[in-house]
Amino acid sequence: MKTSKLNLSAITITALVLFLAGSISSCGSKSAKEENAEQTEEVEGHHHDSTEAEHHDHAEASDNEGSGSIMWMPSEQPFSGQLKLVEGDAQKLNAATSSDSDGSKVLSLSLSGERALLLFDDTFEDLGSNLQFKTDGFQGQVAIVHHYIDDSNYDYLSLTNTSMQLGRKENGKDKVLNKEENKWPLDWATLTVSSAGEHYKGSLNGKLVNHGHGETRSGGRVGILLEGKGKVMLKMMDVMKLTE
Amino acid sequence: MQNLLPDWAPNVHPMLVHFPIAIIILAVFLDFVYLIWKKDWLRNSVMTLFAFAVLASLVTYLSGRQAVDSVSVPMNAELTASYHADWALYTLLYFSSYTAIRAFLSWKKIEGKRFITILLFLAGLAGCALLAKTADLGGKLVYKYGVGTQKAK
Repeated sequence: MKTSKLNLSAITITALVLFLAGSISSCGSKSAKEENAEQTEEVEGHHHDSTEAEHHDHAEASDNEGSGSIMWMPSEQPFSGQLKLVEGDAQKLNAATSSDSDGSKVLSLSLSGERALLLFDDTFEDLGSNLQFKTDGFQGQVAIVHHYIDDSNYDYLSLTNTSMQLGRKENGKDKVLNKEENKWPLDWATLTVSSAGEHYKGSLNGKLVNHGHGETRSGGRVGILLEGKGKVMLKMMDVMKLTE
Repeated sequence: MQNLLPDWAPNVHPMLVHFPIAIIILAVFLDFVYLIWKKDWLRNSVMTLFAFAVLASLVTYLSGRQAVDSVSVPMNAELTASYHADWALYTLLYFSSYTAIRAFLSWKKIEGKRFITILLFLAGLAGCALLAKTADLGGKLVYKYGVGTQKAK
């Protein structure tokens, strides 16, 4: 009886020592994965610096060389970059590139009730995306779509004249993840969406408006969905892969 | 509530977050002591501490949910924030269930059996791993990404 008690005490002491050893080792050193991630971040930082310079020198519209991020700006020739017109008629949209007062290029699209869908080719799982846009007499919705598989399966953050909404199209059925009342921006605005695990957030001009939850989805394409009547101007869109 | 906070505190979450960590670790430690030194007051203390730990975890979890929408989270920290919230929920659910089972065993007066006490201690230890993962992600949000170190504008 005494021996069995001693054995049990020895087991518990061993368990505690192993736990403490595990805690110390996990706190004390960075994992190789974490170090690699930090190195990648540094490389990406340099990568962006160099490509920003390229944007000024040439009219190239986007870049993504496997770094996990894309940045698009309009080129002289509409829809010639990585952001491709997937749905909508380029002629009907009266697509034109002009220069803004700050010198940056702007892609103007005129809609008359139809849908226009622009998508990047690359797919993303956990992602963050910014869209810089402005409207002129526009009635409808401006949306960032992500996890786009097809017209019946995608996630989105949409802004209308009255509200901002995080949603999910699943087999054609629309599911609202979060909806908040919101006013339409009068000037240039930045619409931001993040999809991190089961958490989805939507911001307008840096102010968090939506926070919703949904099951994680496998990777899909990212882009812009416009629907309504009026003029929409697009200045910049970026997409970044999120890592821990 | 906001008026009671010091100027530097963005919300109540950083004030509360250490309570469940400290209480859970103390409870598991005393549970270990109870394995060696069988005293009723130790067993009762462990049970009481786990009950407080669940309460503290619940309040801290709710404060965290409120906090994440009130501070500025950089885009590259969103995934860490998401995992932190998820692991916090797993930890809360784990210790809530664990404490309920423990209370049931105590009520049935079978908590004191040697085999059960060892099993409960090991289960508490496993819960500490969930707690450690949650705390690690929370620490990363603050010290790597600076979340909560300035108020959202």
